[in-house]
Amino acid sequence: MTARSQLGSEEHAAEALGQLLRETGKPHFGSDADSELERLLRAVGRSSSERTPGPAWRTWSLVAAVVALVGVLGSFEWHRRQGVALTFSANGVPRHGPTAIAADSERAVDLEFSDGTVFHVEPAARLRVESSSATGARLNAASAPSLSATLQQTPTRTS
Amino acid sequence: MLGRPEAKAARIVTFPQPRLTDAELVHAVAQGDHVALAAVWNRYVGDVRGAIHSCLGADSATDDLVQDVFLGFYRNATRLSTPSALRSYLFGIAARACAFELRTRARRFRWLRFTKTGELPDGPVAESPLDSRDSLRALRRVLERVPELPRMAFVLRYAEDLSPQEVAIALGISDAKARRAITKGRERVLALGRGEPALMAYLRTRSEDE
Repeated sequence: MTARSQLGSEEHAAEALGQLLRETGKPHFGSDADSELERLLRAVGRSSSERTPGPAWRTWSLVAAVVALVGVLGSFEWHRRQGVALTFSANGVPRHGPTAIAADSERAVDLEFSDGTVFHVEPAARLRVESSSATGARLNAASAPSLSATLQQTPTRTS
Repeated sequence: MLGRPEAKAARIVTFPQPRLTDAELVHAVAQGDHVALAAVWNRYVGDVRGAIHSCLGADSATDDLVQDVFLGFYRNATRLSTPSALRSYLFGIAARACAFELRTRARRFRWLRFTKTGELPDGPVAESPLDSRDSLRALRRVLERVPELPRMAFVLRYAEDLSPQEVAIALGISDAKARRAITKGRERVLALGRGEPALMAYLRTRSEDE
């Protein structure tokens, strides 16, 4: 007997056994079918509050959770940035602490702070950054005949 | 929306069943529609009872298990991923309910035995010839010795005539796993069945028939 014919005969035998299960002693309602339906509907009426929430409800819960998480992370990041002192660079070169900026006679210097504020120091002018903190920076522009700045919403505090 | 009558028999309205597909009924039940649930009941209660009968035989727990199947469907209707496969889904709940019932009984009768062997006599079987009843009893003994998943797959495939894909949906498993379970169930049932003289007539190969 080939494997194929053996498989066929096994299918045939299994189907015969399935038919034996299906057809021998066909079931009938122990009680009236209508009364069983009534029993189901009574049970359903009692258990309506136990139903599993649907996909739409779960989707909105997920969206709300993601929004809340993003909000919390954003808040942490905002507070973290608030607590960090302003940094600055002169023509792209990072500087630290009290620093004197002296522009060449032919070349201006752009003093850029980490909050986005940029001071344009004219050629031959001098400027001193006295200090910088999380809330602003103190600049001394006594030797700067002209100083222009591009300010952000929360500009660097200068004096 | 199909309306939400109270759960009283007097207010159950005849549902226009032919106009609604299984998917539409599932959607309505998911909305809490009791009339749609009654329509699902009328459409499939016979199949569900048949599936439970295939698993347990004539059994006093059948009515309660049928209730469990439809109640389970009502509670989880919103989660059906393939509403058009409602019949398979109901068969799956029925198969799992039967498996749970058998497990519970096995634990219970380990401590409490009414007969010497622990086997209980079959309930009343309607209008079956005596040899068929012997064969059926032998087949149930065989099925009790088959692991749960292959047993459910065998019953769904060969007694309820579900396709392998429908068996997969019913049992919530992949097509490949359903095919393996069907094959394993068939092989186990046939191997164990060869030890039951009452099943010999069913196990004759086609070539022997010819």
